Amino acid sequence: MRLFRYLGSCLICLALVSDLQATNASDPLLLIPDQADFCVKIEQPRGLVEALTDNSVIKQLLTLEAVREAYSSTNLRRLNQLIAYFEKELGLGRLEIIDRLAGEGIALGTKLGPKPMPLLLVIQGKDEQLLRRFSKLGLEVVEQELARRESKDRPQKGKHRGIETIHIGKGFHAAVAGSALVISNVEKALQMSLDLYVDKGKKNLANVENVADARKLADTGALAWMWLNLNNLHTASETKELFRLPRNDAAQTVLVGGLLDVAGRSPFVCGSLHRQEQGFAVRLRMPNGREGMPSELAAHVPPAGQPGSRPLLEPRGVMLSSSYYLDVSKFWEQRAKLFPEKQLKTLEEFDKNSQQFLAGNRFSKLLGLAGAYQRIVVAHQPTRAYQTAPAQAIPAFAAIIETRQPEEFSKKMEAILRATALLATTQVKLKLVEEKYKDFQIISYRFREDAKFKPDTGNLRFNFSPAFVTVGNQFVVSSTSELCHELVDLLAKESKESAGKGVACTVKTQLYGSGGSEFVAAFKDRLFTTAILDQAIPTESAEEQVGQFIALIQRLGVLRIEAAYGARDFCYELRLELKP
Amino acid sequence: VTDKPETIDPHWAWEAYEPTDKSPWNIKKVGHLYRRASFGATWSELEAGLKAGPEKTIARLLAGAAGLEAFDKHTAPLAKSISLANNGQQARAWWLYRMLYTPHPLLEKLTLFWHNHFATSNAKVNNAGYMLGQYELLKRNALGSVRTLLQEISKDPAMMVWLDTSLSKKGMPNENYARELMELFSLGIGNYTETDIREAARAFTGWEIEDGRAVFYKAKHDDAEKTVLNHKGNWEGADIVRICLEQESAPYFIAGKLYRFLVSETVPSSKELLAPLALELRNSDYDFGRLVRKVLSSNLFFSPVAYRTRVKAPVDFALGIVRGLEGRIGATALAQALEELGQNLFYPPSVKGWDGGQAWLNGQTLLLRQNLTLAFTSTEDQRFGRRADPAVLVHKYGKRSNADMVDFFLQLFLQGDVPQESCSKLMNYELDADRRNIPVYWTEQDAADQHVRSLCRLVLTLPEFQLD
Repeated sequence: MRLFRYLGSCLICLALVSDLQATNASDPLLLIPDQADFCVKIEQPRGLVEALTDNSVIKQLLTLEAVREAYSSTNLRRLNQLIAYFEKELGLGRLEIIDRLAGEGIALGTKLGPKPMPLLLVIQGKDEQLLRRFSKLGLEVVEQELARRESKDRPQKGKHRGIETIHIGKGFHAAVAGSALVISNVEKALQMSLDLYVDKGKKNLANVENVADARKLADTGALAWMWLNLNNLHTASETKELFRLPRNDAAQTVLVGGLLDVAGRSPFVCGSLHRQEQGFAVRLRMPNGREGMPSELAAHVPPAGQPGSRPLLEPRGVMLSSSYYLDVSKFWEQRAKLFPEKQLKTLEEFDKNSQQFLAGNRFSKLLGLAGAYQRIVVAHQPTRAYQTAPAQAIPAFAAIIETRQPEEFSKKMEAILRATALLATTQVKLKLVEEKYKDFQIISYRFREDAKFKPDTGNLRFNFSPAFVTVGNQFVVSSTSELCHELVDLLAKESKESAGKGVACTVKTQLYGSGGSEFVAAFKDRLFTTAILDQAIPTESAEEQVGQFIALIQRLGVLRIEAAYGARDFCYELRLELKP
Repeated sequence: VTDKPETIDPHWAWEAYEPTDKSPWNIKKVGHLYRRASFGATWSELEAGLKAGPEKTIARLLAGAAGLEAFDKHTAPLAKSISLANNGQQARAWWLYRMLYTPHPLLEKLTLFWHNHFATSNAKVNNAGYMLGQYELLKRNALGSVRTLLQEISKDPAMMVWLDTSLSKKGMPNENYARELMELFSLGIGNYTETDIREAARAFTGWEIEDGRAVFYKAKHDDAEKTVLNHKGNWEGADIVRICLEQESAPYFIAGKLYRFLVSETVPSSKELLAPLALELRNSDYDFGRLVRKVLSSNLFFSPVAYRTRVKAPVDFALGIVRGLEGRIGATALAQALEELGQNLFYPPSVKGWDGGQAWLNGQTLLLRQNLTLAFTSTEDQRFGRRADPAVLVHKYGKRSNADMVDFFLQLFLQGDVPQESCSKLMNYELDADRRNIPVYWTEQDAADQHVRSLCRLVLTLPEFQLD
């Protein structure tokens, strides 16, 4: 492991440290055998380094005391010295070294299944002469390091098809093939790569149609992209069950049934990393979509022409807002096709008995009344409903369910929630509050502050004042009455401005740095304690560090997560939009 | 060194030590005192102790340095935050933080003694606030009255959960606390009967915990007559504690525990040897501070009977290194490391506490101790980084040559208690070092610092360093 750490250091040097007179421009995928199931390629190593080092949030992160200390650690200082050594010896700056030694890209390939899993790293440069000097210097450093550590392993030289190879122990094998540096943990994998180089073989990843399609789908402007061959996973004994219907894991069917169907029909999944104006985006794509999806999975995808999800709700202090399409009624309608016989029987039995605990309502009836669009909101609420402060602040949260028959659904849900509250009063004292707010009837429950509840030693119950309300065809259940009021305002405004509107993606989730920082600020004392106990720093430094950390979270802006089923493609995107 | 307590004159043993030509006040004795009454010494503490003499050094340790109030004010909000979050992992780190940076290490050391004596584990209590509350109680009385401590521990929420007093009701008395009070806290096996336990358990009924405090419910208390240790009456819990402390065996039991903690684990104590200490306790109405002073000042404490006759507990081992190196490390990672070494603070393994002695060492813990030493001194371990760097220390004290550095580390950590052979090997280390390859990108300073760190690690991995 130490050896790999050092070699890793050399590679980071490479990544941090190309001749404009390119001598052997090539694609590193040409040296990865076509048996590989997975590859990741950094198209522009220099661009990736610059994107990371120029990023203002990363710069801000480096001002944190804890990060600064890690940055000045012995190991990182030595790494910087090592980089400086290469710069001096090669007579080039680190970015230029990256360009010359890795300018054509870096690719890592692997084959899933064999043990040990073979890993093949190809660093494709533009300057063979420089690469040979770099490799010589790197080898000297490794030899010295092994000697210093009194390691029994020493670099051993070998030859394959006339190319000199280096082996250290059983797990490190490397060679320079033209202007490419090839490294593997399995000797056979290195030899296969060198065979491709010597024979100018065609059986490489660059010539695999599947990979070329993935590269196209992943976008050309990506800093890095990856490809995973799904064809083998469709038939592998460990994974084939994932793509079959009915499957034994009902939770997978309910939560990600649509996604697994698309994966089951797609030959590959590809991913890509992009630099955006204000941050980064990661996209996962598959070349199949709603076309061809069996009707029993309609729960996950809206009919053509219908919106994918409703707009996000953003109350004050919002930390997370999610909106998604999930037609729960379809699970009941298509149950015979979706669930195996044993689970089907259990489900039907559950439905028969559900009247006992759902205030006389059947579970299947409720599913039928509920709509396909749902939203979830989590928010930091600075105002409290109680005088008593809980030992631990829990953010407010709410679920907003669109209903098919609002009146009937609300009536049934109200009966269930009231019965639940009545049951709770046998354990803890609750006060019912019925309130007319605007045109809507909010029903909420508050814990009595003058009554003791022994099991709740931290007074956590005072984080909650459960409330529910019906606004048009939206049924709201909220952990606090305060959030419920805000949601009424937002939904009332929404019904006037954009009733029935929505966005194309079936899942849209946003995480907000501003709300997150407000929430974290409520835990200042915990962060302060952690800083002192972890680092033994003075009070003033700990206070400063906590302040910097909260400011950093705020600067993280918004993380957007979207999933969209196209007719013939699927895209899952994570986009981090940093605050300028 | 004798292993027969009957050969030790009790009168001589507990008389105050006075330096003589045969037994001079030297750095070995200062180091010994700081190992037992603190968590090891820094170089300046060794030098100051040597200059001040035994009496002043012991007085200084008993009083603690200035700044305890400010230190308490600094750590109190941290404890409050840990209690609110009910974070048991942070609670142990918090205590280690106090042990490392307190101006009064003896107080923390004796609090650790009492923690092992009352051996309450958060594994069952599951309430960091209660555990920290018990810590405060132990610390408050660590150098105070054993009587007060025993009375208050009987109503301590953590103890009430640990030994089920909070579940003990009239008609359904729980015997756990009564049993441990007699067996482990005050009298010892053989000084009570099962009947005494059953009767005493009735006296402890009626207590519950409300809002983090012990509350007495008369209606749930068994107020009928009980006979405990031949005393008849309508006893309550406080009476049982009083009766226990009135027993002849009680001061012997407590003095015996302190003897094992401060003097020797290998030479057993006898009733005769402990008699002067038991008398001191009884005459002072169980003033533990006076007893501690007497033991620390005694001939026996500074004799070969006590010198390096204990195996260092993990806390003493690790803190001894950090204090010696004048490091400023974080306590969270240290708490985790100590758990691996077998001493998880606030989580003792049983009602009997940690076995201690040779039980601390086995093949695995020895290897872990060596790894921890490397982690502290190498500056390459991300948990501790460069926060306990031997190279900084030798620079601070102006030690430049290999011989100076070897001597410095041997005096600092071992007060020279190593065989000549080990010394010679360390002296030759520099010659060996010159023959080693240094990576070409290292500076001369890197190589020199690395040498110091390796040298320090070698000293700390000598077998003698495992002894307290």
